Amino acid sequence: MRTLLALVAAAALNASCQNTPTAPTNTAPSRASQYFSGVLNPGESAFYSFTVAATADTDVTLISLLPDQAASPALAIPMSLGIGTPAGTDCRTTSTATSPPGLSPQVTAPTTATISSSAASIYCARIADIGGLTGPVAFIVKIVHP
Amino acid sequence: MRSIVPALIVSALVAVGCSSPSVAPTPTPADPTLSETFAGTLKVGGSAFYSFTVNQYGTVNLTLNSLAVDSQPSDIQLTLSIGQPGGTDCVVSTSQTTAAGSTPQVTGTFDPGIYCAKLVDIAPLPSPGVFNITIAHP
Repeated sequence: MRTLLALVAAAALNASCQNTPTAPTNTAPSRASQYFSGVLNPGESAFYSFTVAATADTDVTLISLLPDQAASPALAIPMSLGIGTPAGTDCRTTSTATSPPGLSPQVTAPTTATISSSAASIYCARIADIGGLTGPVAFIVKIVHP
Repeated sequence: MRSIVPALIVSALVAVGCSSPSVAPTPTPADPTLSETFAGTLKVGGSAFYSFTVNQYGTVNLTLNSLAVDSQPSDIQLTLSIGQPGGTDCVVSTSQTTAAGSTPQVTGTFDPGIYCAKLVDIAPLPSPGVFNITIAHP
């Protein structure tokens, strides 16, 4: 009887310190938008670094390309767009596309967040002229990332 | 009394079993075994940065080896920093204002990830400066 009481007490204590399992959820991570704008000259490239907070896809959209002058019509010149990681003095792209400005993402790539180090969760978006520019242009790139 | 003792012993054992795990020992920083060269021309009042990947927790050393202005060695001080790439820049976390020299001017220990070395002209330089930086990291 004494042994039985001891076992019951131990079982009760053991149960009290176990973590209650929770059902996994399939909620997609929230995503943030950042806008990368600047002026690009013929033959040049530019990049923008960002940190992802969760593991999910990142979208890059060239939404606007204008001559670097006021009241000029929008340009439909194809540009190189990419997603990658900063390396050296550039962005080493792993996913690229060539596209004129548009409303839908031109490049989408998986991006991974590393919980132990924010530095391991840094990516970059890159834009480059592929020969179509004849003068400086003002660009706006939208980056949507987790 | 006899009926309580076994229960207390068992519950004590259970309590030990579900207590928090012991704290992991602090890892020893790895030595910088890789070397990259960041060289270029710094504009008057300008800045430049270079991104590199630290592969494991360890020591990063930055050495501004040389600075030349108008083709002559210069002892003008610049700001040398380590940080993380952010936006169109390098967001610095450790900085040192220094002239060129042969020993590391900026050092630190960092987790694996992508970092950047940044050089800023604060003097300002009388004309563009040609620089050479060694980045040593694990």
